[in-house]
Amino acid sequence: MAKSTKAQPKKAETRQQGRKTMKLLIDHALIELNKNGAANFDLDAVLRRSKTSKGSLYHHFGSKNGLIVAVETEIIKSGLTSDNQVLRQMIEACKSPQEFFNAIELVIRAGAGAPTREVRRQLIRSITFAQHDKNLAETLRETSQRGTQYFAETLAIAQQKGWLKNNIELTALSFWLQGIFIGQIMTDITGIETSDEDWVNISLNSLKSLINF
Amino acid sequence: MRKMPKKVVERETSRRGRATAAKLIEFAAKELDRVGPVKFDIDSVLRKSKISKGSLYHHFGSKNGLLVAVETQQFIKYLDEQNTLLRNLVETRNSASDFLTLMTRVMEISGLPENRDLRKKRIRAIAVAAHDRDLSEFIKTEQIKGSLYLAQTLQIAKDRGWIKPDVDVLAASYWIQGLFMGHIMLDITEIKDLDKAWNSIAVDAIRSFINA
Repeated sequence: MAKSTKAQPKKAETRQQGRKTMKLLIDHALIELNKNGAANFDLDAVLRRSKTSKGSLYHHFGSKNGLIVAVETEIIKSGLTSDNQVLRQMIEACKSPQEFFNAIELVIRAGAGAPTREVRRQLIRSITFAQHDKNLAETLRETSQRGTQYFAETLAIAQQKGWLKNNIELTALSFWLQGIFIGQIMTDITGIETSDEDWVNISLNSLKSLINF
Repeated sequence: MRKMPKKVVERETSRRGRATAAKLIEFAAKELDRVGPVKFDIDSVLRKSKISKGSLYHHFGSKNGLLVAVETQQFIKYLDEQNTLLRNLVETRNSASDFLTLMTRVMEISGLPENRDLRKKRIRAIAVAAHDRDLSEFIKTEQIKGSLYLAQTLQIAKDRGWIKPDVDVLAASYWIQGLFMGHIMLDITEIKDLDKAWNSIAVDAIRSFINA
């Protein structure tokens, strides 16, 4: 009894220290990843800046690759959750199909153009990395499915109230709306700014046919 | 007359040089598909293609130079072909409803396995370009060119009264390509039975700017 009570605080302290080191490594790895990308990721620079030993890195993440996967996993998991919840609240508060349409318009506008470019860039990077990492692909698949399902349930609120046409498959619509968001990568890479407003308009016009005004 | 042999030799050398460069790109593309840009193993590429390191540096300057060359090639692959094919198809349509049928088909094929693969590679090229100025310049130029071409194709349909007059064809061009790329969200979740439902929404969307 006396032995264990003596050992416990120390163990907890070590664990806490370990978590701190992991967080430090992830933070600095993220900075490096944004700076140089995954292909030219400089592990030594991360160790130097975080003042962490190579032994610590291998203890916590197994390899450089393990560290990058941990960073990408954090990013993916912290992804769409809060936006998804805000949208749910917005749609629950709607009182008419027009209000529902306005809420969707707000979301599409908020997701348009330069302000969200970084989110898309990060997602594209995660997707590319996941193409060659089974664990990350699994995380991405799960998170994306869960997020999409939540989004579809939000849309179901609108469908139950008769605002969205009955024949629409909501999971597909949920994927489709996310597709509109990520598809803007096409304008991101060309740096053409003029079409942001047009992009929003085309998206909204295409959605009008799905709503029972 | 005496100069001829030298010219022939030069031509022969540059022909062989091009063949070496093409071979490197071919093997590097395979390696890239196998392990991705992060674990890309240049020594394995050289070993399998039986090409010397000197040759690699001569043609591409560095491992990164080769990577960029591969991504460049992958990105434009089919871009021109698809664009030209669609132009021909639009030019030979006879009515707005024919045009709608064609665009519906265009939307439907985005879920095919070969297009999933194409999308995967374009996404990878874009990701690599985020940290490579040459590649990102190249992609930018090609994408602007391709989008303009598609916009001109849509303009043909608009001139014939098939597309609503208030539609900006350049924006529509980007938007249609965006839908194709946006399908990646469905790809990564590996839910296969949603393709039909996705298509039906896409068709409704396309219908919103067609006069049919």
